[in-house]
Amino acid sequence: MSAPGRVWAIALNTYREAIRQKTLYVVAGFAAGIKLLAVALGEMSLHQEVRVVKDVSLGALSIFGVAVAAFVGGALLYKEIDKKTIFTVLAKPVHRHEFLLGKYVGLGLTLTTLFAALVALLTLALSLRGVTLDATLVKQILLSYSEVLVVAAIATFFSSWASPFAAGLFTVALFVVGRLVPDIVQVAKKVDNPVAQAALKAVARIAPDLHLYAISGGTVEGGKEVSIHATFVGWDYVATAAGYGLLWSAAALLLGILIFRRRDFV
Amino acid sequence: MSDSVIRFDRLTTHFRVKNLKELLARARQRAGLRVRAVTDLSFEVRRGEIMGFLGPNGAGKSTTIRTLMGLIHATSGAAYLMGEQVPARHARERVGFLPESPYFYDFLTATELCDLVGRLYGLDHATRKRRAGELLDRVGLGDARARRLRTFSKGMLQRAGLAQALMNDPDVVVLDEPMSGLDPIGRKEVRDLIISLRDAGKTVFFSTHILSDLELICDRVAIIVGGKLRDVGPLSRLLSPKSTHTESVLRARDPEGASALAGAAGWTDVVGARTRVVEDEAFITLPEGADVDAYLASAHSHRAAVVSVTPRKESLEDLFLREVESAGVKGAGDRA
Repeated sequence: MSAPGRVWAIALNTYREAIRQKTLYVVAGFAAGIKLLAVALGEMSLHQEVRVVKDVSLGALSIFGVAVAAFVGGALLYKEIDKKTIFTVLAKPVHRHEFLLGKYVGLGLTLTTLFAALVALLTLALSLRGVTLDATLVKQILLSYSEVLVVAAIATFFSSWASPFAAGLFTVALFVVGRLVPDIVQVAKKVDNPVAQAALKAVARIAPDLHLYAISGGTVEGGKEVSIHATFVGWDYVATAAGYGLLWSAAALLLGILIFRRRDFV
Repeated sequence: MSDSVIRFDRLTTHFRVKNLKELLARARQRAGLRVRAVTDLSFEVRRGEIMGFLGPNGAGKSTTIRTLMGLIHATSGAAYLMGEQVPARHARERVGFLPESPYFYDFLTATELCDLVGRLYGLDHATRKRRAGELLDRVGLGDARARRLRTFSKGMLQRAGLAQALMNDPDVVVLDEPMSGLDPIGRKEVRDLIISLRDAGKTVFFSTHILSDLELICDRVAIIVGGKLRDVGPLSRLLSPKSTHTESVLRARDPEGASALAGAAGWTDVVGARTRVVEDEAFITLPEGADVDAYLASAHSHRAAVVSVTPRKESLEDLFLREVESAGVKGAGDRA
């Protein structure tokens, strides 16, 4: 079997495991509940029903996607090692990098399913108001999806050497720092202490700029304000952000592979 | 050597302790932070044989096997699978492996587990389906093929593990404690399975600490104690051909029988043998070098019937205990 075939076999198994566990359904149910809440809140607002549904639904999509990516991803390898299921797979003609990539692709499939279900609910909630899923919403959904895949890659990297709790925690911490990159850059400019300034600049340079994916309500290059309720970014922005995420994910997975290849499974 | 399918060449595997509890325990004992699990191990498994890998718990059997399967990196030396140095990814296409106390994906059914393994070996759908069915029937899980593995007993998991180890119709089968967790019937079935694999021209290398399993089916045995190889070869060469003791059973033949047996027992006290009397029978073990003829004459004079006299040679258990004692350890790998 070819390498992609083995990666796919491991990915399907990872996906199968995720969808047969109750945790994912609890998370999805909770996210769906938030969407229902968004509809209810919209009803209580003054002619802002669609706006509230969009904001709360997209917020829930991003938060729950990141939470699943961080915590399911953080436990991705630990469970295999702890339960020793990894012995069965790695003793087969499987490279270690294929195993790690397969786990990541499986997590990606799981997140894709979660996104698909939540976007379907969003579409339904909007259709009740006579609104369809427009290009702006699709762009924001794709941005959130890209971000979640980056977070999943970071979680996979941490899971290659840390415990699930630590991996989840590190991932969430990096996610928060990543979202604050523009703010960290601004603070660095204002700080007088050269050491603190250098440290902040280093953090802003090392951390992934996840603010790229939560741009609504902010400004893009050139100072242009963008919002999903008014003028939003173009497809070129979405493609660039997705490309940036792809590079970041590749780097995180490569680092994870380098660590994972050296591990002993005693 | 062209005939060897598995070869260990001065294999040494030491690894760092990561468990905090064990780290603290080792610090208290002023032991190092590395476990010397296997040291300077050299032997080979030849094509078409059943080779047993014997050692007490913690001797380094599983570490050796995991190093062979690429799960642990060798510190020095090397292991070879079909001539290819481990990790030997290509050679592993022709190897089946059962890990110790297997714990498989419990959300899968037995059929799905075999299917996953078949995919990893690159088997097509029809072959996977056919082989999964055949193998699950062969290991006695035909009726449980659609059940999730989380509902399986330890013995059933062991059987599922054997089925997945054979999915690729391997030339070499490596089994880590395959009889563990099985009842006597299950153990016999696994022994029969191993013999049938050899009859089909396959090589089987398996570890165990259950001596009777080895004695019944192995062509050759390697004994590891404290992470070091103690002996390797066919059992006929390893076991001493000399008689080590003689076992005899006497039975009382008339009303004075009890005194006759007591007399026999008294006689055995003189030569230092062991005696056990149960109802009208006495079970007597005579040590190596005892004058058996004189003993039989004495028993006859005490009006006892001789039921049996059996000279015993060294057993695998005797050999094993001898090796463990001479190694000066109680089983656990060298934790220095």
